[in-house]
Amino acid sequence: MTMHTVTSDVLVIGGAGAAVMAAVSALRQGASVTLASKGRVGRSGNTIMVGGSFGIDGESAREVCGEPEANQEYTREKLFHKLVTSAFQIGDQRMERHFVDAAPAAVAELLGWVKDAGQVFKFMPKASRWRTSGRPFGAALRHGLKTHSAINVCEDVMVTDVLTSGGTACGALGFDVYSGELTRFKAKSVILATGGYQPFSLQNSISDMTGDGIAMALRAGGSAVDMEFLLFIGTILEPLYAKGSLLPYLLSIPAMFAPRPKVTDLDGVELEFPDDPRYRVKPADTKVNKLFMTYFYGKGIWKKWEKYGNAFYYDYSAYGDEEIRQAFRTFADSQKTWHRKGHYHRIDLDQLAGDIISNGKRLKVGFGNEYSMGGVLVGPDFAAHGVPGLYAAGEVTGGLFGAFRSGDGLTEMLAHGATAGESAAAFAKDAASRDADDLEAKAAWLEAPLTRTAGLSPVDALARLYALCDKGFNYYRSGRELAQAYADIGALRAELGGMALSCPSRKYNLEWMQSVMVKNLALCAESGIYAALERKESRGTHLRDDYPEVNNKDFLFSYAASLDGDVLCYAERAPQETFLPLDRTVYPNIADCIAQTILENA
Amino acid sequence: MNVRIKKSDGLKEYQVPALSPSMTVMDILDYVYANLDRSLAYYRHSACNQGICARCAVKLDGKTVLACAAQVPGDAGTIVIEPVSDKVVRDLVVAS
Ligand SMILES: Cc1cc2nc3c(=O)[nH]c(=O)nc-3n(C[C@H](O)[C@H](O)[C@H](O)COP(=O)(O)OP(=O)(O)OC[C@H]3O[C@@H](n4cnc5c(N)ncnc54)[C@H](O)[C@@H]3O)c2cc1C
Ligand code: FES
Repeated sequence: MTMHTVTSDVLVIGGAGAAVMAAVSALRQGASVTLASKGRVGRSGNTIMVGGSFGIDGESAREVCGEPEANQEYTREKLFHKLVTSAFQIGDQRMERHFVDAAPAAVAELLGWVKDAGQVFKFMPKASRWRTSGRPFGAALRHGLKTHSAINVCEDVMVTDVLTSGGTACGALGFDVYSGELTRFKAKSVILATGGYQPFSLQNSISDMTGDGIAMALRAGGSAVDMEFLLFIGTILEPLYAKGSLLPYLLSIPAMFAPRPKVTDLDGVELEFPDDPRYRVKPADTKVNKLFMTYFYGKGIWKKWEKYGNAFYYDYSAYGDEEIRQAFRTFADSQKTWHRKGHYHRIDLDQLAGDIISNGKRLKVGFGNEYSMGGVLVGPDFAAHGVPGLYAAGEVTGGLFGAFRSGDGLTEMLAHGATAGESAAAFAKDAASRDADDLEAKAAWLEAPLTRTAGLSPVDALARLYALCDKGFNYYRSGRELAQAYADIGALRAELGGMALSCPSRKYNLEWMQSVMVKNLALCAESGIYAALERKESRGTHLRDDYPEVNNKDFLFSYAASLDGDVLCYAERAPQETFLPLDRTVYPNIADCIAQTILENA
Repeated sequence: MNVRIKKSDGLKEYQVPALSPSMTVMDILDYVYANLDRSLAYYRHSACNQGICARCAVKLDGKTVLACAAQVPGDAGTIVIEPVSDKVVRDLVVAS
């Protein structure tokens, strides 16, 4: 098999927000830059899946982004404090400070692209946030990349491994998904910007989310932290044509959709969200509702998990047919800047309203994984721990949001991308070009399933992985189910070395792509399940039925995974009191901890 | 439902059960791929499945549609799915 070689100072892997920002920033430092993306730039990544908005503090929104009406009470310090407490204190305070300091300039740059590309983002002064949607976001990124035409862009290339020389990153290996041809990327430094991981069958995220960057960093000698923390939002289960949409989350916001559903389990038993002033949130804290919803509704859903799994109803039977239809029309109207008339992305909202009405006014919903807090362990310059020359930016990293993301993923990717680009370019300036010492081994690993005639199919492997995570590693967890999931993922991972494909073609071979993705996802899932099993407390999005307390006495640390051969090993990393002191209180449960530490309502 | 797919090596027919009163073309292709023919090539590697990325176009009964957005009633008799252009890479996947 012939192999192309593409050479540059800096290689950026990914094609969405973090990647484009990193590529532009590295170019600005004088580096030659290649960007290699599994999907198309601006048409891939969770960046195009966004449901709502992103923001920064009000002071910077006015001073740096030119929004005169921005809420000045939402100060930099308030945002910083919110990040620390929402992370349930295990976030890296240096990264939290970086987020506050670096995001405004990166957002301002993006807003320039938005304007030049003729896209519309709407600023909401009180919450200091911009409302938008995935397509305009993607268009703005494409525009930003286009205006930096010196960047060499390779799209529809799936990167499968970071290449190293004596433990230092010196490029990557990938293949063109259409032709199946291999490419060796030679670079003096490499930036991973490949997004997060999503190991469940209900998907509101793009199919890219197989934790490729996290797994590549692990195989290159890096570490991954906080892999047990995954954020969930309401996601449509039925009707099938609307499955995977995050509409239920948007419909849960009264300002967007007036009717208030009764939330019930599949037997019609109400799932309660207590009407308690301690759980009231302010506009800048609305993300906390995501956690409250999984916590309060999840408790009831968990009771019937064996029978129904991840499913519940939004029940609108307190409303008349016309009220429901009208509410959807009003919602459609509020979205018309970004969506086709009467639609939310592919969904015809009138059709959906009709189907809800004919289904006893119920919408069948589950919680879908929207974001993974965990990822590549990086330092304040976004250098990956343990691998000189390797950097990471955006959702692929861990450490900023700790146990719960209250800040915005979109803001994160822009801020990280800008700094990681600078750091990687600075590293490349002083680095020599090296030849990889692991190219042959990594290419053989990649191509082995193509040549095998019998073995586990990647399709079945993925189905097994989703099933075991659905069952034992979801938003509510307990020791028994986690132990089973841990045994199952170990058994599955042991079989992945023997995968075989039904068709040996290199041309657009989905099974071949999945053979790589499932290995990556299994590595991520195993490290998450291990940490979830060992973390005998609840913290952020890690909700343990058998250990409800938030135990800052015994568990105020992160699990960091790394590979020894093919075996995952774990170390504990305690957070540092770089700016704020740590609270060692033990809280009886998540809701009390949120009320007292994040909302300060108690 | 009878699903006829124009693959690179000719027209193939598959029997797909009605999983719901209305399925998307992507639901149908996912079913065929997972259960009946894992050699099938259709756009799926960086797929939003929500009508956002606009990369999953195919022809459904001669009309260009996005596979993840176009609905087919569960009781549709026979449908034909073809590549959207003649720049075929393999089966339903065309050069991007
Ligand atoms: C449904 C949903 C709604 C959301 N809503 C919001 C919101 O309203 N506000 C907000 O702030 N955040 C939101 N988020 C989170 C936010 O979208 C993400 O955190 C953010 O976009 C991540 O950006 P990124 O650039 O790090 O990664 P991504 O946008 O995920 O991009 C990853 C890129 O890497 C590429 N890639 C992946 N693997 C490989 C590989 N092996 N080789 C080469 N390239 C690869 C992909 O093709 C893609 O281009 C939402 C997420 C979801 C799923
Ligand atoms: S998969 Fe994105 S539009 Fe169909």
